Amino acid sequence: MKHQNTKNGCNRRKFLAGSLAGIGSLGAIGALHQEAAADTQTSEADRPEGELLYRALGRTGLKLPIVSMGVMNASNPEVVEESYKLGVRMFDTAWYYQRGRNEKMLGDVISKLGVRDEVVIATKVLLDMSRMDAERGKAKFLQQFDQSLQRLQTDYVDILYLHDVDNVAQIANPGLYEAFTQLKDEGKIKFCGVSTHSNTLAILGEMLKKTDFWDVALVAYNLAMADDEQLLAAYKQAADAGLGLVVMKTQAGANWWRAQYQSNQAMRGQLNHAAMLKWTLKHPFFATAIPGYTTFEHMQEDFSVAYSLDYSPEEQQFLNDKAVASALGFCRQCSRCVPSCPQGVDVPTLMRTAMYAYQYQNMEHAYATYQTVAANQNLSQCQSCAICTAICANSVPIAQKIGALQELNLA
Amino acid sequence: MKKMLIAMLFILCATGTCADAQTGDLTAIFPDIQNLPKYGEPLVYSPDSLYEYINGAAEIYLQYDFRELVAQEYENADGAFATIEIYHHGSALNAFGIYSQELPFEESNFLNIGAQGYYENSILNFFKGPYYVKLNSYGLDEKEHTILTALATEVAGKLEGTTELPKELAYFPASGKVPHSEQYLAQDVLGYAFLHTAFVTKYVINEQEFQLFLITGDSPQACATMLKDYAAEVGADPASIVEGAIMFDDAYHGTVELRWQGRYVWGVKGLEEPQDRTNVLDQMEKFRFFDISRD
Repeated sequence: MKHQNTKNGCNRRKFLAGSLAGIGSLGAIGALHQEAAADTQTSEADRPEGELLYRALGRTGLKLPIVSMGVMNASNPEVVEESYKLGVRMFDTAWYYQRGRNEKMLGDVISKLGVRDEVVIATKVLLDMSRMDAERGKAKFLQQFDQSLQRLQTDYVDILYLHDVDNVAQIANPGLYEAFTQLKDEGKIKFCGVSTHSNTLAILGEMLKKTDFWDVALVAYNLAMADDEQLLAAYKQAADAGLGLVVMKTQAGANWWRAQYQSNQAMRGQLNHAAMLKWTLKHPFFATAIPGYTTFEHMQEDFSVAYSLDYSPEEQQFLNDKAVASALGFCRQCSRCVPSCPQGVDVPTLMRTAMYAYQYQNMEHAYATYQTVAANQNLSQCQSCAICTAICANSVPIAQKIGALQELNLA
Repeated sequence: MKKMLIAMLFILCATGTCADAQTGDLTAIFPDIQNLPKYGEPLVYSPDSLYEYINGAAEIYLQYDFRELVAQEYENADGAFATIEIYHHGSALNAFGIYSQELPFEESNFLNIGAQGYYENSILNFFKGPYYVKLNSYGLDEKEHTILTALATEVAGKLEGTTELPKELAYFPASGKVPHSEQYLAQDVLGYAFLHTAFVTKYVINEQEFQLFLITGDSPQACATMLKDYAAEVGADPASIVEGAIMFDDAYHGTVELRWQGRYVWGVKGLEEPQDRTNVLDQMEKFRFFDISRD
């Protein structure tokens, strides 16, 4: 069977974030909306202990606890309800999740609690508007959003995203802008944005051309993407331009990690998700994160981060752990593996290629990196070996990554 | 899914015959459709790449042992298009599980396709054997329902697998049950990671909403582990957990009353009156599912 070729001619993989467990404590819950008059720019370091950390969401005027809830995988309304009681004030869902049951569940909980005016609801319309004309695109967009309002049992949402944008053509349809504008004029949405997991640089670049239109971007970032300086710079630029950044996939690929390394005792260990969430949120341009927890235990652990970004000794140890770095697949580019390859393959550059392809989900960069490899040192040489024998001094699974690269159409 | 689609299709095999579905080659299922040609090659996604197709929604599919997605898009010159998606979930139980996660919450047109299906707003979903099938359509106007149904019926006919609903659904009393509220949860039952593999069903009796659930463990020991973990969670003594009646004071769910025998745990939450709880649990017990040896 054939695999779908992406728009860039290469297959891609994406790894999902998981969520984790922990313990939190109740603290004072402040107002969502920033005071217009007084400047309360108290630094996070000066914040009284036991109080939640809040950040402004771009130019929206919203101030949110730095940990929100990604509702998408939750099936138990009690988890949503307890999240509110714990202090969560933004709930992220989407039209597509569980075919509407996710929005319905959220709407039921918010209605039951009677707290619509106290929370921020974000949802998403899923349409490939690059394949529609403006009129049809707008009509479908509005139709889908109307369903969301009914499910959510509200007459407005705070943030509406176009879901899963990975191509600038998807946000070029005039109908999209007409739809968003109409919804704002009607008071059915307050802010508009885009959610994106890949080709983020291009998408953000396009959004920054219309800073008077776009309010929020839902983007991915985690520890496994630490070396992507270009992406970090783009996020900072976007935040500096006033775009509110909500961050997802902060607890990088738990399922992927388990699947890949479960049989490798040398690399087994537990991902410390609170540590990873803190690490991501230490980047101040992210206003809030939306971990997709599904249990009470994970809810407690994730929301505990909203009180402090200081690492515990255990969390610090986790982040420093070589095994963790290996499990996340960081190649240190030390080149000590090179002599262990009988074919003279440029293993370090192939590892960087794999990093861009699978951890950063940046196929353009992966492809460009692969092109720098000499023909007599690229994947074509790997075909000579039945089994990859290259060895990494830092336990990066070279053979596994070579195998993953071979599934891509990089030639 | 990246493309929300439109237009429906009537199933006509171009040559008059279509290859029967083989478990190993789902692409053979997709028929040729008059006036709506196929758009591109079949899309194939694995557990690693499903995220590519349906982004964050993939997580819940993976909970149900998702193996493979094969999808075919159709589009005509008028811009109408549609999609057929076939998700392979490894077992009829898991196919039901993911199907039940996406059931409509309003009254819909339920159909006798595969094991069960429904039509709603240009969508027709059904499951059969280990397959969960989703069809999207747009643009056939008054013919849409007929055509979607015909297409789904043909696809269902080519898929291998049982058309029976999970037998556990019969163990829930009929009185007061909210129609089509049954779900199979592979994990995180009641919001706890230590509780898994449960059927849950909503009830309304005398305006009281409550939930019945049936946990099906792999073994009595598996149930023991779940219950002892639950006991520890709510501050009860795990050592006190034995087969029979169990009651927990759950900070999140209120009073949860359970019964355990063998590899089955059945329970109720949301009913305040002890006699009401006893009544519904007694009704479940009449089905004697715990006397049935495992297949």
